Amino acid sequence: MAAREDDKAMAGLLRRSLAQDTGAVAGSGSGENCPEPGILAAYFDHALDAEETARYDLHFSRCSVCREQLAAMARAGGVGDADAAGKTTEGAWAWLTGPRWLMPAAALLVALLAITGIALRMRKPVAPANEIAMARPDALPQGNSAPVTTPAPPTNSAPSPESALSSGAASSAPRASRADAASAPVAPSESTPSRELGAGLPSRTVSHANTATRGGELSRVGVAGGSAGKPAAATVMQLQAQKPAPQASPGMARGAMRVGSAGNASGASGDGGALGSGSGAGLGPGAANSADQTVTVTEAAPQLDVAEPSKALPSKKAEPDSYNSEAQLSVEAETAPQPNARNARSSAPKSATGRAGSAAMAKMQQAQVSSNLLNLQIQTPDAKILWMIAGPAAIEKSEDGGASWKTESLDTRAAILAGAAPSVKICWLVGASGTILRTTNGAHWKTIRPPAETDFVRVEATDALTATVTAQDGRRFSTSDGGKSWSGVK
Amino acid sequence: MPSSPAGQFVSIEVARGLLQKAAAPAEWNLTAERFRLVLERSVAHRFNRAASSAPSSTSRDLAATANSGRSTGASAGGSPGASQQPSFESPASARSHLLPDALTIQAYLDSLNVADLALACACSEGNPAAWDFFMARFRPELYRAGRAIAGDAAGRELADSLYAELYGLREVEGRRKSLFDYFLGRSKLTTWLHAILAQRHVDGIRRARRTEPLEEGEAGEHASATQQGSLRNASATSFANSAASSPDPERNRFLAILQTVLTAALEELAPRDRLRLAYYYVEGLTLAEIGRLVGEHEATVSRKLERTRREIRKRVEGALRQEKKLSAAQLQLCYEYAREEWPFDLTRALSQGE
Repeated sequence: MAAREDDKAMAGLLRRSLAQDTGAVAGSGSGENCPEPGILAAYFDHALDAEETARYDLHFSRCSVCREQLAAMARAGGVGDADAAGKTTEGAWAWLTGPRWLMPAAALLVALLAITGIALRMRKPVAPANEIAMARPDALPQGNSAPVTTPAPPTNSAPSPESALSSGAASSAPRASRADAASAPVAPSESTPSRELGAGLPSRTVSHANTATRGGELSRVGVAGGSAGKPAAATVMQLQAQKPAPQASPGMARGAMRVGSAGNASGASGDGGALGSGSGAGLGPGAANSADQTVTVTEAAPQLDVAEPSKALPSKKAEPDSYNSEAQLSVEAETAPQPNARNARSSAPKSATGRAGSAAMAKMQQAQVSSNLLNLQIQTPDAKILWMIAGPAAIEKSEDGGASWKTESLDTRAAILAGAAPSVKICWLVGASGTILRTTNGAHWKTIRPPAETDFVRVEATDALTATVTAQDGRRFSTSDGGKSWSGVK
Repeated sequence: MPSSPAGQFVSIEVARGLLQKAAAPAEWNLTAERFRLVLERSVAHRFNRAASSAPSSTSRDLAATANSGRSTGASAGGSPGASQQPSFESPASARSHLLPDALTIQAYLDSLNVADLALACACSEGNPAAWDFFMARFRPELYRAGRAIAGDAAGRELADSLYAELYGLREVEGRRKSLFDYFLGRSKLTTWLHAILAQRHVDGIRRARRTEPLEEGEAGEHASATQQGSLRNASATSFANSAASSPDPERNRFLAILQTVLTAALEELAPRDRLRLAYYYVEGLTLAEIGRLVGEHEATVSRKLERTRREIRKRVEGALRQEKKLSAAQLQLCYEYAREEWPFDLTRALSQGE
């Protein structure tokens, strides 16, 4: 933690120093030397020769005027209409992971994730599969866990299952699963190129497995995140009772949902395995713990199961095609009565402990993952102004409808879990450890004294003075004087 | 038309060849003679300029003219003719470059975006067909870019404001003066338009910042930095501010030391490394955007940023220990203080804001 904090300090110092550095230069009447648009454009197009490029690199590294122009050009030229949304999310994640974790593969994972998240959401209204799934939590308390198999395709150079696993283990998944029962994940899996990834990156790739039980059959819903184009994505299958639920793993370009051994051919070409899934992070905070946060999750993926590392292990070891082993797994899972308690192994620690201190961390992480995944953006009444929760203590703001984002520092180190913006200038944020922040001018954040030292998972605000916060244990407090006093809400 | 020394660099045959390469439609009525003038100008601009040690330019004129109103904005790009003057007066060493060899010039000419250059040339001439083509092909992009740069409402206005200048409503010595005259073909026309939009936009922002220095701009991170003439002033001010909230007398000293050492470390960086850091930390660009600017894959950007950070950190800590003789505990304290610094500034800003 200390190292992380130091990095933050360093980042702040760098930001300040670099700005001052240029400030000194620009202030001393530079500008005469600033290149004109023609040169900036040629520089941008990489059309200058080496000598010129070096010269302007030096100039730009000291001149904030030029740099701002180049930055504006990068924003103008870098954002295509079509993939603006994807880019935005990707950018946010890049910030979240911070320079410290900026491994090459991070961006890749982030992209995966973004695609998954978007796909999940977009699919919801349309796919019949989802409807079934959605109906399910209410109607059918029981579900199957869906181990995900990510067979390593022969042709693929993807790491072996073991390595995948270990990277998964290093990541937050295990912790999360232990702490929280209800959630889900699915199995993650891992992706290729980066060795550092598993270890360094708190993984955030999530895959979901859904199972829906209907009468004697299971209807299996694969919510797939893969590339939309893949036929396999969003597959709905009716399977007989014992079949394991297939799972959807976010797939990168290649798509990918691999349906387990269900006999489904979808996997065919080693698509899923390759990119798979990521180091599994638990998605979806336990319902009990942060109900509000989960809502979104639930909508999209009604049933989320925690894929235990241990469980994943067998399935990974098993041949991809080994129908039996999978079926077994699913049976095992089925025996767990509650969706929340689903995980045989993780069932013990679960919700009870989930609330306890030891689990707090994992929970937060989980909650955060989900909030980042699904509640990243805080809308304001003005469609152009958006806030985005970008990680612990970081908030980003866009004033152009999400085309570009600017990070703002927050006076807290706690994870921000939710926010509400009743107007373009006013925004409330809540988070772990009694964190409540508010801005009334859209720029500067003030810490509000919380009604309790607990994790807040939701906030609703009508203006700068009036807001209601929801704690992770379900308690609600409201204020009508900007947080000077709070009263419990029944 | 600025009077470049016609015929100095580009022969009419070469001009004709390039015009063919540009494949300009016949109805644009571009003649090789006319195109040659444009090429001349581009070459002269390139090689006279490269000669001077500093990239002398007229960007300041631009800001000045922009400040004084849009009507004069057309001179913004800097009249090539005018901008050559200072170049010619630059150091003697420049002279040796004044006449590049034919091969160099040919290579340069070959690198130009002649199709875009021909379009700009025809538009500048006021050819209706060329103008229609431009509008059909570039207007949507111009609006899109304007919005991306300045936001929806302002973006459109920003883009619209260019049209008059592009079309050349202003007349100089009886001749229409079009912004297109300043396009030299070194980049794509789109990029050049983006650059102009970006310049106008940044210029507007900076002007606003100057005129309302006590609004929130002053509190903003870089406003205060840019306003302060010198680094020392800026640091002193901010440290004093933070000191007000901190009872610890050591704080100022440590922060000042840290800042000094860090500034030195940044100075020692290769320009490109410093540039990446600045894009990332000051301009808040994403890795992908930075990659676009420096011509690297974003993974590379990420790796290099990380490496630069490590290097800086190593240098800073080394300097703190060895030159400043700080103990490990004191070093830790430095970071401790540095960490607090932002919140303090924020509180100050906040109290103003609310």
